Amino acid sequence: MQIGCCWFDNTRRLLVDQTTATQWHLNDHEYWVLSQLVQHRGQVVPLSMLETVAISGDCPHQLSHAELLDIISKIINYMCQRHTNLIEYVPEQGVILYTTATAKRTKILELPERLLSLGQYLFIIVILLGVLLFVYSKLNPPEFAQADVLRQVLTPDGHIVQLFVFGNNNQQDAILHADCLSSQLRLCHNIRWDSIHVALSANQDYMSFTLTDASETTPLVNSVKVSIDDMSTPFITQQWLQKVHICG
Amino acid sequence: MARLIHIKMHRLLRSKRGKLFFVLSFLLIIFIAISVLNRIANTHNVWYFNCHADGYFSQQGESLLTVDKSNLWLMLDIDHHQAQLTYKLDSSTDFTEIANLLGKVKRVDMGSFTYHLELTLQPISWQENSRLHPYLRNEYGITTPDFKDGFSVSQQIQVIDLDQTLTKATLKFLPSNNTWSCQLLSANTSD
Repeated sequence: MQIGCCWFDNTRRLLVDQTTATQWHLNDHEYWVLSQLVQHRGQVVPLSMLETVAISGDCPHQLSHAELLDIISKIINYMCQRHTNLIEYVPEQGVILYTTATAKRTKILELPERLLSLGQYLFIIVILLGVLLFVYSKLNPPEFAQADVLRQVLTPDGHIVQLFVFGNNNQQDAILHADCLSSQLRLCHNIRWDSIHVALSANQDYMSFTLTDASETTPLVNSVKVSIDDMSTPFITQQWLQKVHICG
Repeated sequence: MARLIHIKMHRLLRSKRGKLFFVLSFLLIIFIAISVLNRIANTHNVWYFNCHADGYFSQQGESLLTVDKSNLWLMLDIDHHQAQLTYKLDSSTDFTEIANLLGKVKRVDMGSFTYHLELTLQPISWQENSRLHPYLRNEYGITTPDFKDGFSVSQQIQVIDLDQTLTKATLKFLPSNNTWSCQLLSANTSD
């Protein structure tokens, strides 16, 4: 009886791999299981039948499930590589010896055009796009607060102050304030702050300053808010910077 | 019975329809998981911001060089869908002013870390020469003169900076573009 690349010699209890000319002498249990599979080829042979070894003349005895699994794996190992899937163990059911070796497709996406139709794949793609759109609608792109103007100011004592000006989308105003403030900061003899964030309110009536000194273990932060009566009149002077403790 | 179900399931998973069913079920599970995560991320938020600024708020005709410093406080509490903002303006020369706004968190944009609030001004009697009143009109972009009890306003507050220890944050009020430097008293992301 030919089983894949092996010849099963029922009389001599031999399994011969014809590709390598290797012979395996089957013990009683292996012979029993393989002969049962051969007799019921193409059918699932129940586990109970395989576990009850009844070789002619001998008293039937029972194999444990583990022993049976071990025998099946041994028989599968006897087969050459491309025919190992001729024998399949069906959990809790039995074991089947196929008549012909079938190409086993274990991965669903291995051969998409054969496993799923074009319509089914298009349907999956539409569903995927729907999920992606849903996720995208929930994730707003980060709107990082970026300053309209960024300056680095070097003070007379060699200290560098980072100046960030948020002009409420009015670039020209932001530049004017950055110029004014940086020119005054350059004249300061002592500034403890490493960075100064300036935000001009939308109605241009108020200005917010956030001052940060990162040199300490716990960074020191101070805020200043100032009302502006007349935007055309410059108020950022040396005196004012000292009054609000930005300088000095 | 269990054996029959097992055999049917086995056959189903080996069939084309079964595989399609498996893929669609997998997608459905991902969809549900994302929905649940999104819901958790958006609703379970408790933040207490304590913000302070030195205020130099001049009255009409008053010079910025002579105006006295006042202390302006903002306590912003966000407790899930509830929001409360308390302003306090304290100075050595003027009376203390307190204003309270209560409302709801309409929406949270986690991408931009922006809270969309719907707020109502709580009962308050503005003093003559109030310095807090014009500041709040500026903060909430109010141009009409009727900023009094029960006035409702929509406001966006964006967290533009948050340190790694979750103790300091910078808030930006939109669209008025006012910024606040704040201490974060507690941050609880669990329910």
